[in-house]
Amino acid sequence: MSEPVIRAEHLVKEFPIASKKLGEPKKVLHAVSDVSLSVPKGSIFGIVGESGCGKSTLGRSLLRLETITGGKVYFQGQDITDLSGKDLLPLRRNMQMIFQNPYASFNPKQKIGSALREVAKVHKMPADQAEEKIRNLLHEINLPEDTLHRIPSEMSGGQLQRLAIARALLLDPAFIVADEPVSALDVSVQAQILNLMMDLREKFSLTMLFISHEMTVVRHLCDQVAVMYLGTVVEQAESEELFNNLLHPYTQTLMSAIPTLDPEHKKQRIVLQGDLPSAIDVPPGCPFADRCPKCQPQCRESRPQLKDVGNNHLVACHLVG
Amino acid sequence: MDNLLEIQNLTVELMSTRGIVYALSGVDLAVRPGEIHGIVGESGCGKSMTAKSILRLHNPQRSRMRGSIRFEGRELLDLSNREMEKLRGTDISMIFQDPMTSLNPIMTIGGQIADMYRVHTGAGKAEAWEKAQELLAKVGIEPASKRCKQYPFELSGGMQQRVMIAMAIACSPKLLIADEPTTALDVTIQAQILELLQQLSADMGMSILLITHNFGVVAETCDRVSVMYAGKVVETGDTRELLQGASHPYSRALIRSIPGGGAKGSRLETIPGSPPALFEPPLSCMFAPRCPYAEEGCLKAYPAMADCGGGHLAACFKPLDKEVPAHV
Repeated sequence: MSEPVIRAEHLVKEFPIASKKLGEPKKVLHAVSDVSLSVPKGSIFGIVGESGCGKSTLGRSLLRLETITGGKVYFQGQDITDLSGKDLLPLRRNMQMIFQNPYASFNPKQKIGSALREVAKVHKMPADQAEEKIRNLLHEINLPEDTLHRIPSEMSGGQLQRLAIARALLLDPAFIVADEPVSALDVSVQAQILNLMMDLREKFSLTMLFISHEMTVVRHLCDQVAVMYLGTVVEQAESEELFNNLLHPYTQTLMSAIPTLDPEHKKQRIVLQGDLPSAIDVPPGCPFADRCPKCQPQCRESRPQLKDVGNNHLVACHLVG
Repeated sequence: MDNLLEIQNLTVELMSTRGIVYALSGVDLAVRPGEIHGIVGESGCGKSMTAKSILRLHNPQRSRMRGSIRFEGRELLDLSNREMEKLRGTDISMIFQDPMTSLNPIMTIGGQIADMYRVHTGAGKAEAWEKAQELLAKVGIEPASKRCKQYPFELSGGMQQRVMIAMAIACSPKLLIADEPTTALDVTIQAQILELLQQLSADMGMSILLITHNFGVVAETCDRVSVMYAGKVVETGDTRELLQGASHPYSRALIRSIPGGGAKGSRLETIPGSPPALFEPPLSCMFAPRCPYAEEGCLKAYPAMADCGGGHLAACFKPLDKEVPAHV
């Protein structure tokens, strides 16, 4: 098998928390603890989880927008864990990001055309080549050419998100992180963007990390899926395998909590008690133990490791496998 | 059965710097006693506008309301400001999307609930504090005596929303308007809040007008539902019936664009174009320019709400057949 585009080994990202009192022991927020994953070329890897589970931090760490506390990140075989400043520049061209709110990721006073050309300029793409590329991409995302003379407030959320995608594709990146790209959009617009992503993926054989809190969207789009809880991956598998065979109690609850159109669904609902625990004082056992409907004494004592239960289906639970 | 709330031909025009915005153009809506009624639609379709109109929360200098809003037979648009003030929070109360911005950050949650209760009932301090604890326990914030003294920032988003609900039900209102109450919350917390709302509605016989953009939420909580588009209600009916066979092309397209029905990687149905800007009063069906079934007649007049069987109403000249399942 060829080298995956991006590979993380036992990735750890911690944020120090300033102590409030003199002499108070330093505290650490464990945003991502011990995550390993690899995204092969041409595939879309989905990360799902609730707010605060570390999914965005994971995405940012893979792009080296964060310094890394522990573990390794490889991009196309190259170790990029400790690269800094200037050494990262050539990589940036190959790694792009799409954000949740397009109105916040475009300069409100800058014309769309100028915003797109700026990307090309920063990365020293010849102007005529950039111009041609921009026009091609506009065609791909179904927007007229006069869009280039507009400013973001004249565009709808869906149109602007399409432009954000075009901007990310402008430099033909090898890897894209899309952080909740459809969460701020209405369903009918969301459907347009998802269709567009599926088209572009075919055409440009995109490699993408798709971060979302919506199971249904991830299921529809992604090849591989990892479910995160409190900084760790609790379940990971091929999309079809995972959704047909939910093994971790957290994944099961998450899935059952999604309101669906099927009125019968509600009867099997597992309603979780309590909230996501704090990532500062993480309990020693399974992070999900406090809220888990199937919790056993051993779950509070030792942390379950991810293990393969067949079909490349990884689960971190004492009660499975 | 008499309706608790009956809105007829409600129009709301707002003055903006770019001219008059026809935010609502003829909304018809009826909420029965004890039912959970959903309003669903995309951003800018007038869901929140309708909710705010019921409580008359618009700036009277910059808006014009016409039509009729009858609550228990009383015409709300004719009430004086003072009478309206009395009604808010006691007979009709409202909760909003973002609880953090609705709560006072420098006041304990118990204090806020007690204050609100005293204003509406004239109760004493001690009595109001007791009531606050009782209400917190009722919405599942325990131990209430300790939680009462906490500040909003000490609570998670789900807990804050519970505080808002506690405050809203303090005076046992007959109607609770919930404007996207779970949109800012995670799915597992959303499930808890929806469960709570349903339980309160059943226990107190309270009607809930639930505003949401999520059809899944509607399917699981609402008895009946109204779909809005461009400032109008385009379809109303029993939730199950509407979801299984929407008669209005817009409702059906909206339901079909939800991922999860089809196979992985299959194309999702989309609606071409975008919703109209509301700077001109509507003269024809607002959905016609985007509708795959539109005919010449659709561009000439606005279709009235018509019964397509069993109290299921749709504003369409060519309502779709029910036989075709809406979500395949």
